[in-house]
Amino acid sequence: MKLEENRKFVSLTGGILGLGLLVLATLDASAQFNVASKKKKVFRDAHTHQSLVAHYKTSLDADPLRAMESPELDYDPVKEQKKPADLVEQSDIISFRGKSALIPKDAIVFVPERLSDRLKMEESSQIVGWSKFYNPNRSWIRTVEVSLAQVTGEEPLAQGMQEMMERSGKIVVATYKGGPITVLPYREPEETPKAFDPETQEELENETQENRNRALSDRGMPRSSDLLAVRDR
Amino acid sequence: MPLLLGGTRFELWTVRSNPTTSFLLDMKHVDAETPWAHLRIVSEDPYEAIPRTRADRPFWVEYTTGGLVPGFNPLNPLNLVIVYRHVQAYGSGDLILGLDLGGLNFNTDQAIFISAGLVTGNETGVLHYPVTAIPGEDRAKVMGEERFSVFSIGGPNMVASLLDSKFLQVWPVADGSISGIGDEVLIRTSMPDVTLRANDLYPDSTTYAQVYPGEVRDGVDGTLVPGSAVVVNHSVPQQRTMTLENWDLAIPEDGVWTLELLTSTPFGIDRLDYVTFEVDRTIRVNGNLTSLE
Repeated sequence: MKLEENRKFVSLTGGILGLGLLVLATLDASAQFNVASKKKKVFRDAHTHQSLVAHYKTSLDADPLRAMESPELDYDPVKEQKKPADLVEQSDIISFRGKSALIPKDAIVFVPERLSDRLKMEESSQIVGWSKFYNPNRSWIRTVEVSLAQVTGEEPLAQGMQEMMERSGKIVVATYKGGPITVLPYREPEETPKAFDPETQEELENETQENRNRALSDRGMPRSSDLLAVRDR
Repeated sequence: MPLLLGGTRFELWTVRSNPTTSFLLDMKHVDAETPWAHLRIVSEDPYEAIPRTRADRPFWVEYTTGGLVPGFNPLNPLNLVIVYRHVQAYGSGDLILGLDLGGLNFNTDQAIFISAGLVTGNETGVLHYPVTAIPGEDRAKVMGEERFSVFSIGGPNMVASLLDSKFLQVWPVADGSISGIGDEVLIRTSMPDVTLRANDLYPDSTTYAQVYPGEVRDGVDGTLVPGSAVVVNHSVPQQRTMTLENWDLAIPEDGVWTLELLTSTPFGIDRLDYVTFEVDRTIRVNGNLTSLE
């Protein structure tokens, strides 16, 4: 057998073997699902574009998702979904002696001037979790526990907090249940609609009185204005 | 930890120190009233960090749904979830830049929608895919990601949300060549220097050359040619060039021999190239011996 024919023969037998394996694989997909745990020792010529192109088209047509009930797709949620903002961009970095920690932006509520150079990424430092960073650095970091209402800016930080922070001389980090958390600036509550408007109130009272009089009249009873007239007499 | 109104999203990130870069590894939406779903992608490669496979190999997607109530009202968020399949090809630049983490960090605008299906009950199902659908002109050389996502649908009191998403990396089929020795040549002296080139070697693979007597055939455990073995244990495919020198000892006898370049991966052993040649190193001396008596 010539060598070129040999190559074709090997390629053909490889193709037939591959097809046979495919049939076997599709016969019992659930049994094949744990295939990763089985040690395979298959020997074949490496696949090429020619040997794969038909296989690819069959596979597309036999997509099991297409065999399921198809949804009405007016948009693609994968493309529409908002990608989470980058973690580093959402964080402040605090570093000291070869260790760094990522802290949510606006969780650091006070920085004394003398410690401001620690709010950066030290070159070649190792990033560690908050508790690993905080515990050995308690001498210059202080935490203040805040409520969810303070976090969302519905309530201001406690009175005297600013004075306490300045007195402490430490970097102050807001925490919720021990973990650093962003604190939004306090927002003054929006003005509520006026509780009492004399003009509106007079109209409402007149309307109410009219309704009451109509109801009394319907029942054959004197109207309140009539009663008042009798009294005045 | 309290769930906020509308649900809470948990994100798992990893951060590289230098340069400071973050990569999103996984995220989950948790809500008191929405259904839930889990996805798992399994391939023949037991690598645990990222599910991965090769352009010619099958993979399986297992989905499990829960929190759904019986009924089929397409407008009721508690009646159904939708499983989506997208693919995304890696450009060669992505590898050059070393952006091999992929997954949720890739730009979803580049994802190509392939298919979707409704799941209307609390169940576990397996989707079988014989090969990837990642686009590419050469089906053996496609590389990229298959991504599966489960979304709930929106309703009066809840928002449509991503319940789970998993991806699978797909790497190209390796190719290779043997040069320096031709087919059907007759070798009468020492073995010539041979160059082996292998491209797109699978991230977990061992590539080597072996020789054995006779014509090419499958499943032969031949003699490993010294200096030919290369082990790849990487996160992306690799390219290697090996040179065989002074490999006469691998051919102990005259006759027809086959030299083949093989790569062993979690999927089996693939022959990348081979040559068959004849060796005849016996020196025959034609002469007469005469004596004068």
